[in-house]
Amino acid sequence: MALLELQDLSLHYHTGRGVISAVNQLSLALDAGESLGLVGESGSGKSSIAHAILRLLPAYAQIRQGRIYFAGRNLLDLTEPQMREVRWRQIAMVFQAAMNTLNPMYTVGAQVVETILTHEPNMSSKAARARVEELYALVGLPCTLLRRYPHEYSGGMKQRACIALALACNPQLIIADEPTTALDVIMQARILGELESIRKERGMSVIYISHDMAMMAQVAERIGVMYAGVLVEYGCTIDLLAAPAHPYTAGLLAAVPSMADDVTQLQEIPGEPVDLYAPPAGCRFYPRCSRATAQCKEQAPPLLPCRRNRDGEHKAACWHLL
Amino acid sequence: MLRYLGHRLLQILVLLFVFITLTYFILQAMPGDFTSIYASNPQMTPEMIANLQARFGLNESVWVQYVRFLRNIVTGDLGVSFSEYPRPVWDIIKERLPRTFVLFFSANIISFYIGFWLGKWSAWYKGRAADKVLVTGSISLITAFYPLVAFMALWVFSYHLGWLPLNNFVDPILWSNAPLSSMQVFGYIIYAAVVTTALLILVSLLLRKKGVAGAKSRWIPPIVLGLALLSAVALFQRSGLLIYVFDILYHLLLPLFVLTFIRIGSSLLLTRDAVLAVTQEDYVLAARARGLAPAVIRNRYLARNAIHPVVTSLALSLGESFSGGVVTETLFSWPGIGLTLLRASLGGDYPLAVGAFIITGIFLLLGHVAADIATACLDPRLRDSIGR
Amino acid sequence: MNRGRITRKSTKKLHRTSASPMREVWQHIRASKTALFGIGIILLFGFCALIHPLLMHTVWHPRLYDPVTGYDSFSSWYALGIYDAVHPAPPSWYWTPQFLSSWRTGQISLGECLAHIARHPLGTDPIGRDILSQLMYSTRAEFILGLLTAIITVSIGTIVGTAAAYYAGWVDTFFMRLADLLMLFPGIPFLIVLSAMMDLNLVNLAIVLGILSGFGSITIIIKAQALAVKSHAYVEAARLAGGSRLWVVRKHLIPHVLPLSFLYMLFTVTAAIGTEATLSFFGLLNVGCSWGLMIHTMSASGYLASSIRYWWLWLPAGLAITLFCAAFYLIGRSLEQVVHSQRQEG
Repeated sequence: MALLELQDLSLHYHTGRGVISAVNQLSLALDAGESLGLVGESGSGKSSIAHAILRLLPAYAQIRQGRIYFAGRNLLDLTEPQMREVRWRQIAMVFQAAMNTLNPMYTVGAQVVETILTHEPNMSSKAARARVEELYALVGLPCTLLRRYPHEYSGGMKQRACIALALACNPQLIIADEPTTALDVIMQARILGELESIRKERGMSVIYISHDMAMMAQVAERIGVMYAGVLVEYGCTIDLLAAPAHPYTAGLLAAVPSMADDVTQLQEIPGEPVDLYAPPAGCRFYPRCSRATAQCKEQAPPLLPCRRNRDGEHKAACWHLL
Repeated sequence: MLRYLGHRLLQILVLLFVFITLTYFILQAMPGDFTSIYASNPQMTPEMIANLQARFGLNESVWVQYVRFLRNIVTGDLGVSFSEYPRPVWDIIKERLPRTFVLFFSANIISFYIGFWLGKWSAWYKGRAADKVLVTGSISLITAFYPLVAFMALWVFSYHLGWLPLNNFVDPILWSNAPLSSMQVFGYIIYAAVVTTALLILVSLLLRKKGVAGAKSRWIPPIVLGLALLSAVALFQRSGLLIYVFDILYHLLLPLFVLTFIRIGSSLLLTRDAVLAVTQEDYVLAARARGLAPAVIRNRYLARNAIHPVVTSLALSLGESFSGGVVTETLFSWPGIGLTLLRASLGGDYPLAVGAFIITGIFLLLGHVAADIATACLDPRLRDSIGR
Repeated sequence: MNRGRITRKSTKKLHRTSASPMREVWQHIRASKTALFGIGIILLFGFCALIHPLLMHTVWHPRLYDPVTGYDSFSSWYALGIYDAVHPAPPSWYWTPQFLSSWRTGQISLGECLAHIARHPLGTDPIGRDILSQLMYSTRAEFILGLLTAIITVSIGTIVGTAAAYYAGWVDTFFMRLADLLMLFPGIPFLIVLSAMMDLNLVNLAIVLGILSGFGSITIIIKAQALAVKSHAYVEAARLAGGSRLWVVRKHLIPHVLPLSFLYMLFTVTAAIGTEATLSFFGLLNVGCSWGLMIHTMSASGYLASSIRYWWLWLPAGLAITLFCAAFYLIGRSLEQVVHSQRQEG
C-alpha cells in the first residue's frame, strides 16, 4: 500500500480579485522509502500541495474535492488536535532556504528540543538534548551552534539545522520545499547529498519540490511535472528524462543548459504563464503548445500511460504525446 | 555594551544641555520679567522695581544670566518659588515627584499588562465578535475626550455612589494628628512596593534559572507576592501607620483606575497590530507545521515576537507620564508635578514652572533611553549589535 | 549619450506602470467601510460649519444665538420685543419693578441655563448662550486648527524628511538631532508654560504644534520611508540617467512618501484637536468658542456636581470632540495597513 496517496485533489484560493484554481484534480501516490520530485514553475501549485498535505493552508484556501490518504487515514477528515500529532511526528517539512523558519527570539537548540518534547512529552529534557546533539552530528553541524540564535547562522548552516529539525521526530515522510534554492551550487550539492544518504539509511520517503530539473535528476527516483495546477507528466526519473512524453516537459528539459551541447541551442517555452483566475477550458498548456489542435482547446486530456514505457508507470496528460 | 552605554550617555547629556538652553532662551524671549507684575502697582516706585531687578540680577546681560542659570541647575539649585516663598523649587519638586511617579508607573504597568493580554487574544481570534468588541472599545477609548471620561468616573464613583474620595492626596482631618508627614508615609509605601517587586523579579529569575517547569512553580510567584504584602501590612500595623497608608491608597484608587482604563485601548490595539504582523512571518507557519500546541505558538511565537513595539511604547509612555500627567492630576487634584506645573504657570510662579518643566523633560529623555535599552535587551539580534 | 536618454525614459515608464501610490490610497478609502464612516462624520461636521453663518443670517437672531455674545433670558425678549407665537410672553412677575431693578443692578445673571425647549434644541449654557449654536460655530475653529496644524506639520515633515534622506551628510545629522530634541519637548506642559507667558490663539497654537511635531517625530518617520524608496533601483537609475537631484526628489521620492505623509496628516488632526480641547478645557487658550471651552464654562460655573441633570452642558461638546477625533482616526487606521504594505514594497 502507498504511504501517501492524493486522490482527485482540487484546491482553490479565494482572493479579492476572484478565485484561483491552484490545484486541479490531482492524483498522486508515494510508496514508503521512495523519493518523489515535483517540478514546475512558480505558481504551478506544487507548494500548495505541500501545505495541503500538512493542512497548513491559509483561511482563504478551500479544498473543494479530493482525499489525502496518509498511512491509510484521510488527513482531511482529522480534527485539528489529531492533525497536530501527524505534523512532524509523521510528516515533517524542510522549508525554503530563504525563509525565516526559526523563531529569532530563542536559540536554535531550544527550538529543536521544544519540538521533540511536544511530540514526546514523556522524554526527559536531558534525553531530548542528547538527541539534538546526535542530529547535529548527523547533519554535520558543531554542537556549540545549538546555543546560538538563528541570526548567527549562515544560510547553509540554517538549512542544515532545518534538516536536523525535520529529522527530530523520525518522520516517515519529509517534504522538502525548494530546500536549496537560495544556496550556492556547492552547498546545494552537499546538502542534497546528505539528505539523500539519510533518507536511504532511515528508509524515509521524501518529496522534493523545486523548479530545478537538474536538481531533481540528481535526487528524485520519480518525477511529477506540474503545470498550472495540473500534473501533466509522471514517471521514473530515467524514463522521463530520456523520453519526455509531454510537450511541456520536453520544453523544460530543453531549457536546462547542458555541458555537452552548444549553449546557443538553449530554448525557452514561448508565451506567458496561465492566468489562474480564468484557466483555459481544455488543456491548460495549449496556448503555449506548438502541437495544439482544436481538441486540446476543448477537452482536458486525462493522465494516461504512455506508449513507450517499461513499467507502466510513465504517464502523461496530453492528446498528442511525443 | 559599555561603549554603547557610554556613547548613549554622552548623547543624553548633550541633548539635555541643548534642551535646558532652549528652554531658557524661549523664556527669555517672552516680554517682560517678573517685576512687570508690579508695573501697575502704584505703591511700587520705578526705583523700587529697579532695585528688585538689581537684586535678582535681571539688569545684567542675557549671557551672564544664562551662565548663572546653568551653574545653578548643575548644582541642583532651581531657585525659590514665588508662591510658596521662601521654599526652594527643588524642595517642592522633590515632594511631588514620587506622587506622580507612583500613580503613572502603576497605571502604565497595569494597563500595558492588561492591554497586552487582551491584544494577544484579540489578534488570535481576529474577526470574531469578541475581537470586534475589543477593537471598537479600544478605538473609543483612544478617541474619547479624556477629561470627560475622568469627569464621568468622578461623578459616578465619588459623587453619586460616594465610594471613593472626590479628590486630593490625603484626608486632611485624618492627618491632622498623624505621627509622620504624608510625604514620609508615602516614602514607606514606595519602599514596600520596590522591595516586593524586587523580590518577585528575583523569585521568577531563580525559577527560570533552575528550569522548574510545570503546574507547581506557577503558584510560587503569587504566593511570594501575597506573603510580601501581608508582611508589609503587619509592619505598618505595628508602627501604627496602617490607617494612613490605607488613606493614601484609597485616594490613589480612582485616578489609578481611570488612567489604567483609558490607556488599555492604545496598548491593546498596538499589541493586536504587532501580533497580526508577526502572524505573517514564516516561522509561525513553520511552528504550526511542527505541530506545536496553539498556546505555545500564541505565547512563544506571536506574543514574544510582538513584544518589541509594546515595550518601546511602555517605556516612552512612562517617560511621557510627567507631561501627559497635567490633565489627570488637575482633574483629580492629585498634587504631583503636573498640577504643580499648571498652577505655577497660571499663578505666575515662573521658577517653579520652569523647574517642573525641566524635570518633565528629563523624565521624557529617561523614557527614551529606557525604551532603547529595553528593546536591546529583548531582541537577541539587537543585543548582539550593541555588544559589539 | 543615448544610453542616458533611454534609461530616463524607461524609469519614467517603470514608475507609471505601478499605479500612483496616492491613487491606490484613494481606491482603498473608497473600498473601506470604516474610512467611509469617518468621511461621513467629517462631512457632517463640515455641513454644520457651513450652515452656521447661514442660520445666523436668516433664522437665528444674533442677540439670542450669537455663540459668544448672545444670551437668552426673559430680559432679552424684553429688549428685542420678540415675544410672539414663537417666543411666548414672559410671565407676569417679570414686569414687576423689583425684578427689573435687580436685573439692571446686576444682581441676577443676564442669561439662564435652560434645558431643551423649542428654540434651544440643546438648551443653553450657564450664561444663557445657545449650545447648538456654540457647537456648530466651534466646528469651524476645530477644522481650521486641525487642518492648519496638519498642513504645517506634514509640509515640514515631508520636505525635511525627504531632504535628510536624499542629501544625507550634515543636513541629515542636523535635522535628526533636532528631531531628537523636539521629541524631548513635553508638549502639553510646554504649551501650558507658553500660555502663561503669551496670548495663545488658534493660529499660534497650530504653528507651535506644527513645528514641534513637524520637525520632530514626523521627520523621522518620513525619512525612514524616503530612505526605503531611495534604495530602490528606479531612483538609482533616474540619477544615473542624469536627472537633476531636485527632479529625482520631486518625481520619485515625494510621490512615494506622500501616502505616509497623508496618513500622518490624519493622525495629526486627531492629536491637535485633542490638545486644543485639553488646553481650552483648562481655560488657557484665547478662543471665542470651542468645544473644550464649553466644558470649561460648565465646570467653571459650578455645574460639575449636578452634571447628570445638566447633561447638555458637557455631553454634546464631549461627544463632538470624541466623534471629530474618531473620524480622522478611523480613516487613518484603515489606511495604515495599505500604506504600510506599500512601505514594505517601497
